[in-house]
Amino acid sequence: MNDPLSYNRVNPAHRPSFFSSVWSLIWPARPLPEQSRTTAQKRLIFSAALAFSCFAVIGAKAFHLATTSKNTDTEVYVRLTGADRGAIHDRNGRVLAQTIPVMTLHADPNQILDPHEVANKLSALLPDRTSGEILTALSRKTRYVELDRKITPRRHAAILSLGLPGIFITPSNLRTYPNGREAAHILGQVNRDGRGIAGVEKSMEDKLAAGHKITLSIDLGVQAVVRRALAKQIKTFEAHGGTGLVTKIKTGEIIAITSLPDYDPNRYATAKTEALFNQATKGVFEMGSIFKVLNTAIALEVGSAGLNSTYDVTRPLRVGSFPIRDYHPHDRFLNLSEVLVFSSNIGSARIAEDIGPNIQRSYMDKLGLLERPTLELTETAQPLYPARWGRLSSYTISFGHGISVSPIHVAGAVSAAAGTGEFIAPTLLKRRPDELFERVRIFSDETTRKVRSMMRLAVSHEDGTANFAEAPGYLVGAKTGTAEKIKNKRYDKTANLVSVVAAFPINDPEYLVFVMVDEPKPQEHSYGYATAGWVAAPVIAEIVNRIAPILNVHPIDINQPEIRQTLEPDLRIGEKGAIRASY
Amino acid sequence: MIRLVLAICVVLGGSGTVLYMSKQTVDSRFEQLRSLQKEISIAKERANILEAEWAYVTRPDRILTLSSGLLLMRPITSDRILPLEAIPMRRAKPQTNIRTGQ
Repeated sequence: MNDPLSYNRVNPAHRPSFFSSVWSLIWPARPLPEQSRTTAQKRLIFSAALAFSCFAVIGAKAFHLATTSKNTDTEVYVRLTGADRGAIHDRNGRVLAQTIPVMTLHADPNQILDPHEVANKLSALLPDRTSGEILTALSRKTRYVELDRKITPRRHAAILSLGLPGIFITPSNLRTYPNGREAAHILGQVNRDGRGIAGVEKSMEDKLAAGHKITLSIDLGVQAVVRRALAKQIKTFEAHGGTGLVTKIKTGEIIAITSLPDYDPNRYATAKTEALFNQATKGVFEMGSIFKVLNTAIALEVGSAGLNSTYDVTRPLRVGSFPIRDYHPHDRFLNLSEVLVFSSNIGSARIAEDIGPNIQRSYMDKLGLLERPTLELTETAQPLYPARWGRLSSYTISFGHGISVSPIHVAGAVSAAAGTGEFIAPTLLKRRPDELFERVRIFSDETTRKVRSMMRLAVSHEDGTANFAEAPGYLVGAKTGTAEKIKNKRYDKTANLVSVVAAFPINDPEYLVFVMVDEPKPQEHSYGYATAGWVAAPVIAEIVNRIAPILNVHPIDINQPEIRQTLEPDLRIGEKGAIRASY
Repeated sequence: MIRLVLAICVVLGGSGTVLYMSKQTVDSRFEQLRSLQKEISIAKERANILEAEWAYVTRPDRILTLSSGLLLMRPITSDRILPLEAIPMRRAKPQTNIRTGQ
């Protein structure tokens, strides 16, 4: 027991007492030297393994962090709330519709301590809303009340500085239509979620929502001229409304399209129902004598009539009990051109008789008058026409009764008859210069040339019905149409729908202009007339005079021999005794 | 053997460093790209606002009202527009010598 290290050594023979057992837990006995070495080795290895695994984990993590990148797929750095909705431009790149970021002011009524105080403070900064209105809004039992959809940056700062709890400002987007009422019906509207609900906004939703820009065929300047000229005449003649249309004949592009009354698309919610209706594409009307252009063209094309054909218009044409009369009867036979220029219903019916109902119907079909137009709008109309296209129907349709079509239908059909002879479906999208599109040949050049000459005479001849459509130098050719509106299932003589379709320059037509005025009232300055020649024709003249320089149409010297030749001026018109036709 | 192990270690270490550096560069480029994209989207938004404002102040209705009130101008009539051929061409210069007068 003299070993100095043996003082605490356990004597195996010695049975440990309870005390020594507890003590050995606190101060364990020193093991034997050989035993101690292996223990130390084990401990060393264990510690080394622990340290190594710690560093291994740290190293692995560091390696992982250094070599892998952040998951960028879930990151969103572009607001997906419609900020990217494509703009709508006119054919010259002017903005018609644009999405801009705005700040929306809203409140959570639950968090508002004193609604009266908040309402008073806010009403000073929100000019559109009174304190009472704000108070009612804040008293609603909801968690979200919108107070203003678009606040200006200055008001934004002022509202923030009020420091009102429960009042929030969040960024959102606003679809703006900077030109107000111009082309409102065509542009349409988006709902609160930024989705198109009307017009091009709806029909082009997929493209716009994907951020694509849409370039329309509309020319904003021409659009403004047409709208203004039409609005002025509607006011002068105390009319209900009207439609104006300008199309490019050779491509079918719609340059201007307006329907009055209209509305401000920036204040869609306040628009009246009748103002929201697009008469130019969705309204169908009996167009009246404008159809005589088509009737004459069909007769010339199928060869059932020639320039020398004459028609007995001296007495009304009776079909059963239904008499077809002329507004101003003629006491002699009229030739083909006179029927059109003097707008004789009896003559047109007799021309239709020679064409036959089946051929007439097939041509009307080819001219797109029996189907919904393939326009880039959802607001289009299905024409109304008799299911049984008999003899009587063919007579009335020859002068535009018994068939109801939209102004856009007329533009397409008359473009073919008075233009290139090819039917081109009207479009609202700008065409590329090299774009190929469908053209259906319907009339020969010979036919269209004759039709154009007659339309020119309706303007230039002293007894023509469209004298007031003359725009000196621009060689306007036109045809008027005055149709009585149907009220209570009868034609109302006092309610007219007057329209004029014109093309210019008529020797080689570039543009077609259509004007329709709904229920003009006779005026003193119009000598009590409210017919197309008095109401719509002057609008044509004004529009042509104003838009020709914009559209780069040069004035023409009418006395040039080539022009005279292309128009065949020696159509026999108005022999002695001819009576001035009013429509 | 130990030399080979050391050489491999050096190669591994070197390539690791290069990998790490290039990754860092790519990361910082991405960061730049993202901030540029953000700048572009902000600039686009601003451009949209400016375009809309420009369209608003140049809307035909306003221009027409302003021009009719402030300018003494009338719509151009067709007799004021002439084709280029209608303008007489300048007469050809007479081929005379100033000094000799011939």
